[in-house]
Order: sequence, then structure tokens, then C-alpha cells
Amino acid sequence: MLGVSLKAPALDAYGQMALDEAVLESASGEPLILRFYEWEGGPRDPMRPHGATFGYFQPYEEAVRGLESRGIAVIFPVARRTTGGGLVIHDSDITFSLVFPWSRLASPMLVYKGMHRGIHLGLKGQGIASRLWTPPMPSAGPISDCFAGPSPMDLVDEGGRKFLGGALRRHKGVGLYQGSFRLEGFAASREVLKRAILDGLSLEWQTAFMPKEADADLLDTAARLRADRFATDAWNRKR
Amino acid sequence: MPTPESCRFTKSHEWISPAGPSATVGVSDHAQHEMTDVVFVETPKPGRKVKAGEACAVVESVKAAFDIYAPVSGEVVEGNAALAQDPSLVNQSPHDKGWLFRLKPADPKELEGLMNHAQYEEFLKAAAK
Repeated sequence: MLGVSLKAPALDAYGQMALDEAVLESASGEPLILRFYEWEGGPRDPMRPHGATFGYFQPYEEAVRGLESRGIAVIFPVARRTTGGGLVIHDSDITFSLVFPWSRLASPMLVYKGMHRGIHLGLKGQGIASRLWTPPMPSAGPISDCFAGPSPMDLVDEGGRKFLGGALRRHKGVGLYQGSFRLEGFAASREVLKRAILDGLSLEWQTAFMPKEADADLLDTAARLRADRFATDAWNRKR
Repeated sequence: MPTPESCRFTKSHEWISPAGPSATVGVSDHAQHEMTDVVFVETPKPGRKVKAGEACAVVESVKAAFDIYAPVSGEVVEGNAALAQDPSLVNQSPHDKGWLFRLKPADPKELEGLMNHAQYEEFLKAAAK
């Protein structure tokens, strides 16, 4: 299977969602398309994030309350994803997406497990220990905050702290995975951890991701989707 | 209550059961099993005109959002309001209480292009190989 590591300009949270949608809409499942987000505005910290994203079914006000409960002033884009799951704050995390074939309807847990098993192996290759989290008893439905605690098949460190979570969407036989890798507690550099993610997904999908710049048509489509959907109240405050 | 044997099926695992001028749409038992525990459902609004194969509903399970497609073209006349309170009906009763929406088909002949239950079962067997 062929793979592409897509390079794109720095974007805000609305633009990131729009670009993932543009990639998904144009994709057939092969090649796999991996993209590490580049964020507008340089380095950020937990109180001044680049933005936040929240799950497709989550109420906007719930996401805002989740931010305000941490004392974070909401002066940045808060964008509704097309994927499921809960609130994710994008400060210094490694945010990335993978568009992949999901032609046969298969359990999302199996898909999710496969992604994270690969990244677990990629980390192992860099000498970094992690494990797939399994709950002691069946989980109790959806959670509103992605990193409030681990969900089944999230990646946790040796101490049980969740550092990788993700969310999925299936559209016309193609899947979109959006992941957030939190850096706290890691001695390894950001670049080493990105390498581990790339190597792990390469292993899982038996591919090599070849670098490619996003072309003008794709970026134009993303810009239109940002303006028409992802940056609008009609989308973000639809519930 | 539509039985699987009385329904037509799509390759994307929706079922449709005509009754009078409208038809009821849901997801197959196979689909709800693969999607696992459904926690949210968004149904199309009444009055919306959809084309066959158009994404018009969304189901979420295990942090995954699944697009659901219109089996035939037509106008949506009703969404299943009960799913807002209890989305697990899709799992518990995919062919009865867990129906998603009803539409008025634009061209009843489109139904003839869909699989009957036996053909759908064969389709599932072939896909599993």
C-alpha cells in the first residue's frame, strides 16, 4: 500500500478541520494520507492554546465550559470535528490525521486499536514504553473531555497516564483518524516522537509515507470549506 | 414492524421498507453489530430532499462517526425522535424501534435496484472472505 506524508501550511483549528475534510472527500483510501498539523501563531502553552476541537455530537457550550473550567479564556478557534469523541485542547500537542481505507464495515474499536498498536510499536522502536489501555470493566459511554482519562485502546505511559487519544469518521468507505499526542512527561524531543508516530503507522499499514506538498486545488477546497462550514456558527454551534 | 426478509438493502448496510407512500430506513443488524454501542444519532430533518447514496444521517459509537446514506432518492418525512433519548435502540432493535428516518421515495423503481434479504446475506458472506 502506498502512503503520503502531506505537508501543508500552518492553519487555525477551523482550517485544520477543513483540510482534513478536503483530503477525506478527495481520497479513495489509497494512498494513505498522513498529516502532522502545523499551527498558526508559533509555540503555545496550556493557558494559550492554538485552539480546541470537540466531537461531532458534542454541544458547543459543553466544550466551552470544559475550557473555562480550566481557567482558559476562550479567545481562540473552538472547532467542531467531523469525528466523534470529546474536547481536545491543542496547545503543545502533536496533532495529526490519517486518511485510510475502511471499505469493509469493521468495528471502530479494531480500527482504533490498530492505529495505536502501530504507534506503540513506533515508540518502542525509539526505546519509549507505552501500552494500550484496557478498562477493568466495560466503559460507561461517551466522555466529554478526551484527556480526562483513558478510553479503551488509548495509549498510556507506564504510570497509566493517557498521552494519545484519537477519534474516527467513516465516509464512503474511507476513514479519517484524528489524533492528539500529549508531550508532557516525555524526555524525547517532538521530532523523535513524530518519527515514532510515522514509523509506527508505517509498520501497521505496511507502507512508507513519501513526503508531498499539498497542492493548490486541495488548499483552495479547504479554504472554501473553512469559510462555508468549519468557521461558521451554523456548524460549530449546531448543538 | 419490518422484518429483514421484507426489506431491501444497500451495500452500505442500510435497509429500507416501503409502506404506503413512504418508506422506513434503518441500518442492518450486521451494521449495528459492527458499529458496536451507538451513543448518538443525528437524523435528517423533515422536508429535506435527498438523492440515493447521499449521506443524510450520522451515527456515533466508540468515538467514531459513521455516515448513513439514503437508499433511494426522495423527501424525508420523519426522523425517529426516540433515538435522541435512547440511541441504543439502534443496537437493541435495528429493524423496529431503532429505525432512523422515513422518506417518500421519488421513484419507487429505485427500490428494485437494491438487494433483497437473501442477496444481502450473500453479499455479507462474500465481503467476509
